[in-house]
Amino acid sequence: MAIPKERLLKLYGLSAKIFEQNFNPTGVRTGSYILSKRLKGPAVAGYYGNPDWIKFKNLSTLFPDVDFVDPVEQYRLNKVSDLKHRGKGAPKKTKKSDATPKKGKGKN
Amino acid sequence: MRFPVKTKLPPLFNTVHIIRDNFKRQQFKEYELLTKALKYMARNTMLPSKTRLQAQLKLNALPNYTHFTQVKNRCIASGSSRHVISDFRLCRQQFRSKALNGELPGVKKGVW
Repeated sequence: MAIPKERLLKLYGLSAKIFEQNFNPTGVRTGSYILSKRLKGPAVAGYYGNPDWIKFKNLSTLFPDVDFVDPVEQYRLNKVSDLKHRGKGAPKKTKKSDATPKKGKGKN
Repeated sequence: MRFPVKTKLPPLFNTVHIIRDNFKRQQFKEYELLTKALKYMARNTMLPSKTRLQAQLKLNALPNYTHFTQVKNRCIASGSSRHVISDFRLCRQQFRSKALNGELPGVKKGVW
């Protein structure tokens, strides 16, 4: 025994109403597919990480009692002092009166 | 003005390109709801055609930096835009060096 189409449509409409679903038997374009998509803004905006992440230079202001050591910076300072000790450091800055104007970009 | 809205700098490695891309990402997030609402109105055939046209015009008038198509995945360690492995957000060179150093948990060099 075949059930008439109208009755079936009524049934689908009622079930959609109960379960809060879309009921669109004629396939009218309502643009609901745009609203049903999830928002991707938070994921896109968080790609490079949290901008408020604590950096090393902020630690000393946050905890003034604790003495923090940056191993990379310590290594650099050690290297510089070592070079200076061996007399291989950066040249001393010339005074303004001593400085002679440079001619061109070449070696001489 | 290049950056019409002030945004915070990303916490890790920064280059001009990363800062630019980050700005677009933040703006995309800001405008996402508005864009979606306008798009919904423009695509909804049940609404009067005048409203739909107005919504479409407003959508077209939004600045370029609010569009998702302007966003590009970049390497977070070097800022490179080429061959970025999106699962790790790293370009292939950075991925290789970090994986060999053991900085990426679960990644191992394939030997067979």
